[in-house]
Amino acid sequence: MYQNYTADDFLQDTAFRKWVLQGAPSDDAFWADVLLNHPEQRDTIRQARELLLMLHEQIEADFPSEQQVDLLYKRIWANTQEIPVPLWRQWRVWAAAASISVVLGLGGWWLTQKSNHLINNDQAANQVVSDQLEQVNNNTSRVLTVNLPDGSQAFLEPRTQLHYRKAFADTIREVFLVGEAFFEVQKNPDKPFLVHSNAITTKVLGTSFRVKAYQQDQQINVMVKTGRVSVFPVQSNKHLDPEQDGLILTPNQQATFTKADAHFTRTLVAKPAPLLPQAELKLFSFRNAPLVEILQAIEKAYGVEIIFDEDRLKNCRLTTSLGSENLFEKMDIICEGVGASYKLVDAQIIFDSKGCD
Amino acid sequence: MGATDQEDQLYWNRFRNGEEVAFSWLYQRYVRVLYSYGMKLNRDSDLVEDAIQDMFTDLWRTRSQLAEAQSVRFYLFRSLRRKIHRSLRPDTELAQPFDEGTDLWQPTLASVEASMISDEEIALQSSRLKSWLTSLPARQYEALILRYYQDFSYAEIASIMNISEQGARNMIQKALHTLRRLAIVLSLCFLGIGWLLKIFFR
Repeated sequence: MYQNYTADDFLQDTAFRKWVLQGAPSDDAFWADVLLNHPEQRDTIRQARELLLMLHEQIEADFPSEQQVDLLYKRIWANTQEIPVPLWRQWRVWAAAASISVVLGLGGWWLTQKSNHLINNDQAANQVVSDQLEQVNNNTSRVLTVNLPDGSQAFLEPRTQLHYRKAFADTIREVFLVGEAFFEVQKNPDKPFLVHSNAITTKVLGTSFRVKAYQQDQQINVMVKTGRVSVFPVQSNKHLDPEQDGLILTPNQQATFTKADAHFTRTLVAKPAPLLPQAELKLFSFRNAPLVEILQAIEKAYGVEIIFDEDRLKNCRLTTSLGSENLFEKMDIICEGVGASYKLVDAQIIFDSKGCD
Repeated sequence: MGATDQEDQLYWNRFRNGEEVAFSWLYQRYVRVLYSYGMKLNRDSDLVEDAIQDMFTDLWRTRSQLAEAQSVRFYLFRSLRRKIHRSLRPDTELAQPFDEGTDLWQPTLASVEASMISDEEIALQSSRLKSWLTSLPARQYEALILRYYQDFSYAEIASIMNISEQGARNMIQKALHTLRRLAIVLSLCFLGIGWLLKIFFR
């Protein structure tokens, strides 16, 4: 495919651009191979590469400073908040006329209504001031802890951006995420906590979970550590309430949203950790115990569903205990012990065994 | 790019509904590239900042009258270009040099011939390419930026720059052609092999 590529074709090629601009070592091997197979394209590739790098350098050389960006935004926002003068004046004239008519004693009830109106307007003005946005960028290479107004915490991974209002609204706690963060949310059933990330929203009442939503990724992941979490697309074509298109996740579950087809899949997180405290786990110690009993204990300890044939396993017995290992490590040990296997289908574990003699 | 455009539209719609967070998101996402693009059209940073400020202020004020945008990026680039050109005196618009400072920095062949294959040469060649870029006719340079930095289609470039689609194609072709010619001259001078190895395996 590359033998007929022009410089323009290369410059339009996503894989090529990614290699030039991000330069992952794995891409180097691929493009070295292309060069080897198409030596006649060497010059074209070199030119395209140079041009792309130079253009980016030239553009980025003219980027404004972060201070400039912030100041400019403040100027814009201040500008947008200016109330057009003529209207305001008219309104004041009108208010003055109203108070004169009050002085003239044209009606007491009308006065009260009018002054209420004035107070409401003042409140609205205050609201605008206190509704100011907070924005945190994690440009460091370490995790950055952000304390949110309600006492919840967000742990931002590098290259992550979080926006939220300095004071959360009365009915809802909302944050906007680009990148990846782990959230520990203070319980408050009256005020749901919403994480907006790209095309999906994650809604909780009080729990801990991780959202991974980098702009360049084709997928968004939500991984739950504790509590129940609802994830749903921002917009739905099928239902009025987009939550109906989403999933309810329980601990150790993960939702993957594919941007291309706007589809959710449910699976388990990469390393499901035990949900019970270490002290309680110690109680799960089995000496030559029925396998069925052990599997049920695992279901409880990790909050997962294991599907197995009870009849077939009735003669299987095992000696084991539960520790801090993750679910899959534990399943591997058990399978080895009784000569069985398992597979993961969605968020369920299918346990397959021929039984024991 | 598809996913990004989708995301843009999402925030665009929320912004049209009056959500400041969405407005600020769009600003944060585009202000840097817009500013840099503006600086390529005119080196006066105050003028560029004012144009950006006006554009975003107008956007917020007229948000309820705005339509759904096919491509937010395209909309913003076209608006900014119009704002900048409108703020210039009409007669200077076309005569305005693209990048005055670097226009004078022309490559000279003599200095190339004197060099040997070394790291300095790579730097030198890069600087020569840089000077080649900035000494391109302003509109060719602009077209290159729109196409290869911003990924705009020829139709979009044509509309932003107020030329025909074929005109946009020709501009890119001409620029690439100049690049090819320059590259041939350079590779004759450098006997490129050692250099290539360094570029690809550094």
